[in-house]
Amino acid sequence: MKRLLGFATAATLVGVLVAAFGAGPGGQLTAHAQSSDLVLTLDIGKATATTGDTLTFTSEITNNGAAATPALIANLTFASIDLDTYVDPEDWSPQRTIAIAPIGPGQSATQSWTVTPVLPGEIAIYVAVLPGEPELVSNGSIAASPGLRLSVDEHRSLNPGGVLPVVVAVPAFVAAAFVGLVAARRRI
Amino acid sequence: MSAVPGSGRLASGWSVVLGQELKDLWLAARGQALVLTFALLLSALTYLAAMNRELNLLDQRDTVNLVLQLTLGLGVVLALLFSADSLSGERERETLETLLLTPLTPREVAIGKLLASLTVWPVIMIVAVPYVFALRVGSALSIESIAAASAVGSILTVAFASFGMALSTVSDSNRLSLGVSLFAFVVLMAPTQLPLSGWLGDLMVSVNPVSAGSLSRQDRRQRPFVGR
Repeated sequence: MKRLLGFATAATLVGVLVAAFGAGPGGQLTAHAQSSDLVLTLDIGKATATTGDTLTFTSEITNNGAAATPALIANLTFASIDLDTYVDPEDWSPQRTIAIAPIGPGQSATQSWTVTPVLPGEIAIYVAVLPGEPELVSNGSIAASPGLRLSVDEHRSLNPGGVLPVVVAVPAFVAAAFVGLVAARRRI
Repeated sequence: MSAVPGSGRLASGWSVVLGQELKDLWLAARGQALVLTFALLLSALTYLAAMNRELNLLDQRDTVNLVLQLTLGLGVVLALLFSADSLSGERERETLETLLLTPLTPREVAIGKLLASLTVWPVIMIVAVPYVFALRVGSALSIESIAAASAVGSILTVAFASFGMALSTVSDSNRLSLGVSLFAFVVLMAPTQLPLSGWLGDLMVSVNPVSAGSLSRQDRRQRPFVGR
């Protein structure tokens, strides 16, 4: 239980996140957060995306302590850095919570996440880890990965999903059919 | 073989009214403008739905449901309004007396007008079909959804158009028959947009033909074999 207290020192959510933004070589985005016992790594692989892209990335939790952790809950979270972009987590990722079995000393657990940006803007992505029941009640300390900055540009498509031809052709066809009907009626 | 007296004249009587009503509806600007407006509305909705699907804000079934819900709602309400206007409109325009002076019986007039108002639904549904396929949700889901919507819409259209015709028969004012028809439709449509739950909510949804029809389409779409 005391070990979990150390989780809190690893990250106070927003402060640590903002301080830890950084891009690795070649645009690879990787960040680490380290507490006395746990190391959280987040690897997105790119720093930019466009709306509608699907990003799949992993986080890794390593237990550097001498004893196994309790069962953990990892939660994927988003924050708007520009304070202007509305981020509804449900829209951005279908699965944001993963249950993690206890991690033995020196061992790691890897989680896979999928994110689809739906609005342009500057977004921080991070993973928070907290103990599952029953430890959560007695000690709900949270550890978090550093936040990774993702710049999202707007995807502009004139033909979304290939519907444009039908969207234009059907009203045109209906109008032409009615004009033809009226013309035929006048001839009669 | 003996012919049923009057049966031949009955058939030709309502068909004459039907033919005239169809000309008034589809060869005049009223019906054409409505269908063209519907096509434009569906184009805008389909375009927006496709954009939202690209962003994963809507899944494939939601986009199809959106298009078919609009189709069902507009098809039923247009048939309802046309039938509600049929007799009270003639009465208000002072043309009903002329119509009753013809050799046609009141039943023939009513049947012809009711059948003409029902033709709105198949036309609206035919216009909607390309949009459902354009959403590219898979042929199985498209065909299943179109078949289910066609069946539910046909039943609802017959029911609502008959209700509108009954109102139109007893109403002296066109405004009254149209107003009551529209009010009844809105009242029955409202539960589809309300978060009803519990046994009372289930009961309200089940006894209401509009919400029950909508639910029936959702159930069909959720069958495993429909897939994505």
